[in-house]
Amino acid sequence: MTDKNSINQNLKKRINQQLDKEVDKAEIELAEQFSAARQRALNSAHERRSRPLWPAPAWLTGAVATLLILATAVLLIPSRQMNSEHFDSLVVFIENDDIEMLENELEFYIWLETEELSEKS
Amino acid sequence: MQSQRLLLNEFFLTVQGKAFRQAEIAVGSRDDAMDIVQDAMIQLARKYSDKEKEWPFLFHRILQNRIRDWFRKRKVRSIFTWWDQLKDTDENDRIDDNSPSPEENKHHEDTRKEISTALQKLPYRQQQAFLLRSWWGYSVSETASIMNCAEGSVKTHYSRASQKLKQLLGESML
Repeated sequence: MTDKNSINQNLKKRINQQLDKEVDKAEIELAEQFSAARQRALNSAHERRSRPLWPAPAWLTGAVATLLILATAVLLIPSRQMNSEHFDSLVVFIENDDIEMLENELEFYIWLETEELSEKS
Repeated sequence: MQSQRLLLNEFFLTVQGKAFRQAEIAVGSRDDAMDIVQDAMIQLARKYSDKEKEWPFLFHRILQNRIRDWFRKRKVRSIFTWWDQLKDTDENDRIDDNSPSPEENKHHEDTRKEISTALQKLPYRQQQAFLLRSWWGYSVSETASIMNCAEGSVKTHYSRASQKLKQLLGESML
């Protein structure tokens, strides 16, 4: 078992050494390409930082839209209630007014009748 | 901000070569491997430039995703056209062609080719598990996080990769 493990370790060591050699070789051969890739990546990090605040990210736009909808709903529902309350009061007011008007008219007609009777007599 | 840029550049310098070789073994093309590494660098810089401590893990995760994307794209392409298969053959030929240099002796070159071929013969998951564990030195749990799979899967992939490499390289390398 130990021999088997040591063989495996030896094999892995040889593979790693070989891969490391290839990396060293690639670093030299492709130095310019690696440099260009790094510069592009570093510049893209800078671009991200200097990006303007608007257009806002999607989540922010969504949140603002939801808030607006909620605010509209909250403002509209009470106003409807107020309207119906006002309407009810108005009806009561009108009804009360009608009764008062009728009462006044009744008084008027009673007075008129009394006046007419007194003239006749 | 400037110091962050320097740190990120330093990080890229430490990982670029190995990441490139890892991608090259996976996809079998130098140009594509360079594109994959560059994309991984850009994504790390763009999204995680402020998460310095997590750079190694994030970079490997992105690299794995980029390699997988490459396989997906190739699969889609190969569904629609047989031309891609010819292209792959060209790429493999190019890998074999670009290595020999006058100063390298024949034995060294043979060993290099043998190892590359053996690693390329491994199924993708086994290959990446082996490279991450054995070459990069990541633990089982770290490898599992990078590869987005269970620790048990990493152990299985790694064990099978080791056995297969022993079969393919054992006699000539020991």
